[in-house]
Amino acid sequence: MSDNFMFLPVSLLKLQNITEIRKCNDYTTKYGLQLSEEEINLLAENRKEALERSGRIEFGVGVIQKIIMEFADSPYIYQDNYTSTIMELQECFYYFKNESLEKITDDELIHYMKRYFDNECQGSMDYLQSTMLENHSRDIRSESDKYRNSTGYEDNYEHFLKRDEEDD
Amino acid sequence: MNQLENRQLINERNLDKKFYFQSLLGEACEKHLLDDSQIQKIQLELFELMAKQVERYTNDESSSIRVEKAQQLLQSISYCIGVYLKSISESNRKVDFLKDEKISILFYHGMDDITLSITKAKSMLANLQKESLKVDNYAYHDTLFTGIPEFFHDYDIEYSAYEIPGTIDYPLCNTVSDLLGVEYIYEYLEHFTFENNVCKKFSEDRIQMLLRGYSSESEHLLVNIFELVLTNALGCEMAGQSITDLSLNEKDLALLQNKLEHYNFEELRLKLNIALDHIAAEIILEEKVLAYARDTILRIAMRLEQNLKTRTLIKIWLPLLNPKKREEAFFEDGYQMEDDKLRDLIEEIKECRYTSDKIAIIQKKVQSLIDLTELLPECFFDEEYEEVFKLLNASEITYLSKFIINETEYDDLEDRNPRKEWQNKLLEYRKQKK
Repeated sequence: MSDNFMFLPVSLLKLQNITEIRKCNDYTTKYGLQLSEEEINLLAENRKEALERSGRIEFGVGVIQKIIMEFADSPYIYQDNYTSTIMELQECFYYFKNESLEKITDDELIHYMKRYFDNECQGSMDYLQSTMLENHSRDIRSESDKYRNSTGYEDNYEHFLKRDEEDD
Repeated sequence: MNQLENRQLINERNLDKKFYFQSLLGEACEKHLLDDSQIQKIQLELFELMAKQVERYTNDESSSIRVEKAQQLLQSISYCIGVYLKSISESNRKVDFLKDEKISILFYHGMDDITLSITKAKSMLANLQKESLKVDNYAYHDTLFTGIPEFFHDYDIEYSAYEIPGTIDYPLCNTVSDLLGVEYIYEYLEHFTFENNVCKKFSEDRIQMLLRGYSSESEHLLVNIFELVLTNALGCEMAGQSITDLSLNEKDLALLQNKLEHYNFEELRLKLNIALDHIAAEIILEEKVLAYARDTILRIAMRLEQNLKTRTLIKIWLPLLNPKKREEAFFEDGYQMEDDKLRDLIEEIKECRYTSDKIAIIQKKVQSLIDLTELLPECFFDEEYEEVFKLLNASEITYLSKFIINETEYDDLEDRNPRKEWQNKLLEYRKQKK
């Protein structure tokens, strides 16, 4: 892969990614969640590895900010497990984008992940990956209508962006 | 090294015609015609363009794509840029364009050039279809009326401009190599036009007899008609016979054997070229067409040399034989039902529980393919389509395929009519049967 995409400004992308992750701290602080610089770097590195493992590539800053914003208010995420859970969610996201054959948008997938994580899975990543998302992806691949009920990505992110604009 | 010497360093022969942009970049880097900052500029602009294309491709609904897809998008971008760079006449100016112009500008110019080529290619195809030879060869007609139109229907200028969709089976005398996408089709059609221009100077009946002389199964074979015609015409010219007859008898072959067997390869080639010049003057061939025909002489000379040695000139200069009774290559549809009777038939078939019962009704009551196109989407599903297609012969399949291509034709690349399920199944069935 690296031969074909040698033109990718890897360090620039990583820097942008780190900046975006860092911004999330302003929002997540009200939920008692903060990422240190070391943890931010770890997440940025994890993104690169998760993409390679899933055979995917990004030309922008990625989805990690959306994942953080969506999951920040989860009752199953607290400071001790925050970084590791976000890393697993990121990995899970790219895996299931493949499994769903690109038929689901980023926003829809993140939304479903959150819904299952907070409800049926009660915070268990194993259950989320091996049962709920597997079933969900199977429905998508077989073009069943069961998965089409999501309204897409919602308030947290939009709200945060609006607040950012007001501060400016 | 002075500026003048630098400016002479891009060697067009080193550039890969298929991956032109990539090879030009490589050549320019190797010859130090681009410095680090210029290379970085190109890389960054390529990245920005790629990001934009991915955004468009995913409708901005996905931040990531599979690596394989990204490679395809990148190759498509590179192809478009390459098409534009090829249009710049001086090799060294191409490098100047890379330095001075934004990559996205080169890309969009490339897409404009491709769009123009598509228009010209479509026009060539229309002319070829109008002037097609009335001879029995499935690959010839199928390629012109189904295979190449499929290309125009399925060609994706934006995300896979380098691909060559469609089924292009008919073998040209001088094959198109080292080209992709619309460039391939354009050159294929150009060559096809040259060949057809030559063949149209001869009687179609004589050509049909020549095909029969080639093989009794010539209708189903992948054979280049132009090469057969040109070869026999050359033989007639060298034997002092009428070239438009295309016919050589045993005496003529014996004469040619005596006349030519002592010549070496270069002498044979010269003789063939002289014969070609006479033919061109007699049937009046344009320069470009003559040049195309001349490219064939080397291959004919090689075969002739071999056949002279083995005294088998009958294998290169074919006899003309009477064709067997022509099947209906030019299809005429059967009796079409009135609308209310067709509706009743649809209801009758819908009530059948078993596919075999549906098929029996079709066999008994349907005579028109147009009626069949109404019945298929209403009464059949999935695997049942193939059972219906098995009832059709090759001409009927070709006719229906043409019908599908024409019905889902589009003028603007944006206005494609989506195909129905049975139409896609038929086109797949046709491909499998080849």
